[in-house]
Amino acid sequence: MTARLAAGSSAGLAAFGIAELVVIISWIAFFALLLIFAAVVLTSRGRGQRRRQAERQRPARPRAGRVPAGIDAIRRADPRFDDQLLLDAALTATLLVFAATTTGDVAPIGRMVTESFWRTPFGKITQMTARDRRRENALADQDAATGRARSRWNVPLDYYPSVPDLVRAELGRQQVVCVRVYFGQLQAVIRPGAADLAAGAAATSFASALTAVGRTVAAQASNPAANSVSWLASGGQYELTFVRPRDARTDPSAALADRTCTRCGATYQSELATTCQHCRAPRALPSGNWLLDQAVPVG
Amino acid sequence: MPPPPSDRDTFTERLMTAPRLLLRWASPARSTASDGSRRFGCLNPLALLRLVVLLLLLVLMPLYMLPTLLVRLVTVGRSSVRFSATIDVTSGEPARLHYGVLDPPAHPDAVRAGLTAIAGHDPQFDPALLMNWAAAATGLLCQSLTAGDATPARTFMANGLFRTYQALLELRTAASVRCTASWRATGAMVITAVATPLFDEVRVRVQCRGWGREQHEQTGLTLRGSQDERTWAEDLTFGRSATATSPVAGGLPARRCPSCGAPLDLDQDGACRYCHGIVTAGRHDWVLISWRREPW
Repeated sequence: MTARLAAGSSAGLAAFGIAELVVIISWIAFFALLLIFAAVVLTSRGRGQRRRQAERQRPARPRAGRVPAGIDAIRRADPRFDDQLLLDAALTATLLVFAATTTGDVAPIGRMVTESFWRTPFGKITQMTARDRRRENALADQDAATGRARSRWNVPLDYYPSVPDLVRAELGRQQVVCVRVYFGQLQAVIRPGAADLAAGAAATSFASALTAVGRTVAAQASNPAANSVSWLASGGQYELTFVRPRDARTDPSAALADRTCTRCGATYQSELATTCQHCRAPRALPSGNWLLDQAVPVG
Repeated sequence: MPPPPSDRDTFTERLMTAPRLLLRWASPARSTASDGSRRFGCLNPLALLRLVVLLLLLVLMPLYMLPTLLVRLVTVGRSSVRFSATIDVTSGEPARLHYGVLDPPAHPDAVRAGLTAIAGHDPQFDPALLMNWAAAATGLLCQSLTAGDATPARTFMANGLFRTYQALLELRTAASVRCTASWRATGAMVITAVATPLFDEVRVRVQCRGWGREQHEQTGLTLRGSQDERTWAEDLTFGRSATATSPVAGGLPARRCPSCGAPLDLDQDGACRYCHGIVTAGRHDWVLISWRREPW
């Protein structure tokens, strides 16, 4: 009996020891992964920012203002080709990406992009950020339903696009036009320990990131009800590639087609609406039949 | 309404569901009543159970978070590194103060050369008219921001910029941002002028005096600015097609349709109600193609 108890106890101890080992190894793996990833991200971000800071000392480069190679071929095939339509579409697309990442709603940008856009790095990041935002909103709704006050907001404050520029065009298996645009955005972050959280999101060194994370946790634990405001600004230059089938032609009414419903004639009150609020018909595209296929950061 | 397909949890994320729910249940905030008093004493068995669960979940955290972390690193890790290297991110006061920093003006000789080149194919071009228009436009932009309505900007903004401006105002309204402000232009000067085979472009720097404040309605917190009077600058960039010339009737700055010369009355599409020409596309006359305000 005593021997059986001793065997059982040593088996239990062995199981506990194994479980303990698994937990310790998983903690080590967890921290190692986080540290390596953070180190790589922060180093590359710091390098990029230092390089761009040096570039900013030079005067801004004016827009090219010349007809890019390949545009004549598209104009010959489609005499009504309207470059302004694409430049406007580039502005709209960048704003809708901003909207998706601050509100979580990808439907407005979703109607302007090809399916393959969501498989590009930019598409994946947009979708992942929007998804996280939707989840945050859902959690806030759950909190509200259970009587907890909402204490976290990401508020879109400002958005600045540069004047877009046509940089490349080609008429191959499909028509492709590339537009270069810089856009910057400013968000306010409202939550306990907002300043430290924002500092962590923008950190360019490992030490500052760690300090910011520690301070955020401390601020949220010490006074979870004390909201504060901080700001997060980001910006970058992108080349947006728009595509349409080789035989597609410009509809001269395309620029206005998305202002009123093509089925019932009702005027759209919201730039972010994707369907008619009266008859639920899908909204026409402001860019005609051009769709955003990819967005690649430049520089 | 079912969640979009992309919102459904992946297998690794489902591993986190139960611990996450337990964590929310065990979280200390739940044991606080709406009046701030604690519902349970520290020796309450339920409170103790919650504490034990909370500690256990914290100790076991890597077991349920590691798979999700691994999957995220594999799927978007490389993209995240690449993007973080190409995007400038700043936080706190520097973010607010450096956001939208204005570009330095071009050399006066370059400005003169640009204005001369524009006048070369459009002898009626008058930069003073454009500067006065820019000053008037800042007043309308103030009106539009405080009302949260883009309509006052319809008469001078290019179609693409107007769409994004309208959408931005919608986003701000939905996020409970309220702007109160009052400012006026005190001076304006041309700081860049370019004539290219495709377009003409003139940037006007407007000096403004007044105040502006943005608040978050739900919390009452001030997001930007104050009610203290101060001065700042705004850059308004006007552009038009290289084939456009100054309209005889004065065009948009004179509140006339550049296409038919009728008194300016535009619909939401930027089309003249008399001749139905789209006058805010920049084909007939100058339109605002970019607006940038000094940080505040």
